[in-house]
Amino acid sequence: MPVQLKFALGDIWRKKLYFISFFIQIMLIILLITECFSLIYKKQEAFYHLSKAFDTSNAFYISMVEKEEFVGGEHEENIMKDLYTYIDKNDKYISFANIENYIEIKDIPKNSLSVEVEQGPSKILANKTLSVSPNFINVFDLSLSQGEFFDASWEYVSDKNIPVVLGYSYAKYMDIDDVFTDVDNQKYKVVGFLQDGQTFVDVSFGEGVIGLNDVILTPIDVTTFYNLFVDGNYAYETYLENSTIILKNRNDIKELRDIAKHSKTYNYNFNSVEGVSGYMEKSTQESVGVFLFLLILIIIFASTLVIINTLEFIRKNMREFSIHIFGGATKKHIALRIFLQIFIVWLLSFIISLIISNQNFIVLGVSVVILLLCLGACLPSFITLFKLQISDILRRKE
Amino acid sequence: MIELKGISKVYNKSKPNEVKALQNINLKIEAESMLAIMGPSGSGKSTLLNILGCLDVPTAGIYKLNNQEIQSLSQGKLAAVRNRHFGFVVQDFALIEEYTVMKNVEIPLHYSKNKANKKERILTLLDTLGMKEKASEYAYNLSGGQRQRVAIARALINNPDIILADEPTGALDQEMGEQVLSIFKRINKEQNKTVLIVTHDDKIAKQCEGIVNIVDGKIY
Repeated sequence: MPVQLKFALGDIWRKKLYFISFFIQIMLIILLITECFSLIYKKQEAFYHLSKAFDTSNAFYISMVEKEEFVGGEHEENIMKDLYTYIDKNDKYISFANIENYIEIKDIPKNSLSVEVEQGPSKILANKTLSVSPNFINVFDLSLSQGEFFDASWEYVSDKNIPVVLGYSYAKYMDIDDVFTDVDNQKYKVVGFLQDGQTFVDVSFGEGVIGLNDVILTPIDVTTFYNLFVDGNYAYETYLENSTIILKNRNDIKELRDIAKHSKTYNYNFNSVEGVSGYMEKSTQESVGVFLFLLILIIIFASTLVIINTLEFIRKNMREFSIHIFGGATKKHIALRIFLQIFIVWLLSFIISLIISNQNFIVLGVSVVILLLCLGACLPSFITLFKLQISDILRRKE
Repeated sequence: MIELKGISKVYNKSKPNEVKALQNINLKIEAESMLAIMGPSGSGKSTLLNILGCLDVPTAGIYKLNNQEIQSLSQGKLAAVRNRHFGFVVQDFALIEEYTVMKNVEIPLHYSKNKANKKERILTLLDTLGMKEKASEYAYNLSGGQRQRVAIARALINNPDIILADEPTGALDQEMGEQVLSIFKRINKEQNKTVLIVTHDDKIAKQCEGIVNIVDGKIY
């Protein structure tokens, strides 16, 4: 084996360009298939996570579409307030909301948790926040490593600190009762830290399972539109658009529809979360479909490349093979040499794919299948080689 | 010793393009002899050489090498026999142009069980053939006579019993051809190796101990 390995390495060195191109294709194939499986796995993980949290068949989210006859200029708050209040006060419903945002913090110790965010024409470094209602914490069963959650009845007041619960990764930089300020001089006080690895499922945007380690949780104070401040307060409309409503009895949705139907401004659509599941599935399917299409193209191209090049390799190197056969080589040795060329490239692709992707098991499984495909592509060459009589090989000249 | 009994070789058997390359060959070759195999083109000389060198298997008959029947050995075992007992020298030298002299001579050693002191053995052998200074030279930089000497070194590196040469002087001028032939005679006399030379050249044939004439696949 080491002899043929040496010759295979020599062959790869001699035909560098071909083998580099082959290596790139194999790596792309491995990574694309891994990404497909990873997307499917993430989707399944999200659904599993979601179904553990609540019965998705009884969960709804609201989308508000302006009525055709709406001419603008009027903000309809009373219907929204009624809807919000009815849901909030009624035991038949559990609702939670999560609103994503970013804040630019002035005095936090320098850390890797801030991300670059576009603000108009420029970019700023900001920290991701998630404004959540009290039920959000219960539904997704979030746990603390330190401190406490903010009070469910918390209300925003202009000169008061907003209580925040920080993701686990912030524990390196902050402590309980620390106060920090944003660029608008709003103060925040740390009241707790989440445990490591806490997650939630973003239902309304279909993003799947999202980690909370680098997120700042802030409370939502739902208030009147004309009493809004920049931070902490959210209008009823914002809350409703970002909320999920879980019903004890699916038929109770009718009561919410009855409240909303009086609206002159909006059509209130109560969409089943299962429909969102369908959206998530559809968006995943679309991505998977695109990847699979590219994949098939690359597989066809790579297989053709392998078949043509290995056949060409045999044809062009007949003379060299005959010299080796004089010296005691067999056709099996030659076939092994061809296989080793493919194997070395596959091995490199596998290792680099492992480094690039963090889905080790998927990469391993996919790579084994790709290796088998490569062997299949070598079959025409092996068949050609073994069909030849040695005397035929000796008679051939380059 | 080599013994062939009733050896035949048929290509494309039972097909319209069937060729009977060898027909009922009976031949005994004593150890340490130097023979010429002569015959017109297409007479079966190369086929005979291929069978003798375990590069091909006969369609029928018995081939004994040192009293061991080898015609029905597997490809792997034939390759091992080839590596251990035979060295090949051909008309077009059969060197790998991109390899150095050293690497070309080393090829049979890769398939040998005895890989000890490779470099020393190769250099010693090249020295006996006057090619030691060219050890690091690439094959494409050598003259015809030099290439053939490298090919002979490669054929000898495993210390085989038998050297098979197919028109070894065919691509050389007269002076070079005589030098090569004198090397074969030296190998035969001083190293006690059996040398079989396929040739069209009467002058070469006359310098051998015996001549095997083959016409239309039969020995006369």
